[in-house]
Amino acid sequence: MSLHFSRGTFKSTSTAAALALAAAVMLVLANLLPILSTETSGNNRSDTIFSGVVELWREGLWVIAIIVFTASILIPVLKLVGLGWLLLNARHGISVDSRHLTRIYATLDFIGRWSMLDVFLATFLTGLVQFGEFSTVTPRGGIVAFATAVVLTVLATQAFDPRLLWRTTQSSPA
Amino acid sequence: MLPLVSAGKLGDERISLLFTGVWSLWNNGMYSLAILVFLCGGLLPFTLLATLTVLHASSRLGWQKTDFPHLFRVARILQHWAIPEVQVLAVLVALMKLGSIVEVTIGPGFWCYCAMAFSLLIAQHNFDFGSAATIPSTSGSDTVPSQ
Repeated sequence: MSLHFSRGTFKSTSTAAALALAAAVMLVLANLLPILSTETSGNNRSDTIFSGVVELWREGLWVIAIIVFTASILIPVLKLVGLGWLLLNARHGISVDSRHLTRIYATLDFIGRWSMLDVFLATFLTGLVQFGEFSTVTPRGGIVAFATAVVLTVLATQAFDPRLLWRTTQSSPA
Repeated sequence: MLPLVSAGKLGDERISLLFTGVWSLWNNGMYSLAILVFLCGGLLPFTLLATLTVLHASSRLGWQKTDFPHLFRVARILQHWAIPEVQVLAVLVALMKLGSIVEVTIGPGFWCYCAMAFSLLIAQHNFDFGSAATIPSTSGSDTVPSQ
């Protein structure tokens, strides 16, 4: 089937697919590993991305919990699913309106940056909350995995050429 | 650099500058992360703002856009990585999160940073990145009329 496409098509989609796959692996890692550990008056606790959101919710900071949940969990997952779908369309020419797909691509490109929120947040908290024995925040491995996942999704989106969404629907073999 | 935010707890006050967080990441051994945050939140937004300023100014002065094909490409790549508005939201979220535990005051540095992020957003909005795509990457042989 790939005979119908030029080499450029194959290269663009396979680079994007590889990057997206790597991002998915890093995202799973990022959600399993703790991203921050907080020490308050001798109490040590480690937070993963999800437990951080749950904690915010429990403290009554609903708006913030929703913002962090959207930026750190919803957007990365949506972005990878969306990108996977676009890649499938570009390769196999599933007949869906190209304009619709291009709009999805533009949206994915726009929302991706907001998932960096958690990285900035962790950095900022680490810098600010250093009150010696009262309260200290230390970054953990999960945040590195998360940042890597975000960077990889941005690279994957850039590697993908949205023009393919138009070409393949015209020359679709199936 | 002006203080971004200062937080106090039990008389122990701590002032955070823009790069305090980056510095402490570096000290925790997370070099790659420190560099990433430094680039996305600090260096690149300023670079992009400067690049856009030059490009805007040049089109005002009536120079051909093709005089700066490299600057165009730089601006187009940078817009993916310069994300000060995300940094602003992150600081606000952190402030609300910490507000219940410690006393937090917003410093003048934060307002400067907000102003920078906001003007960058406006500059990007008014800038036609699409026209950059028509510029040949190797040479400026064909002419694109300036605005």
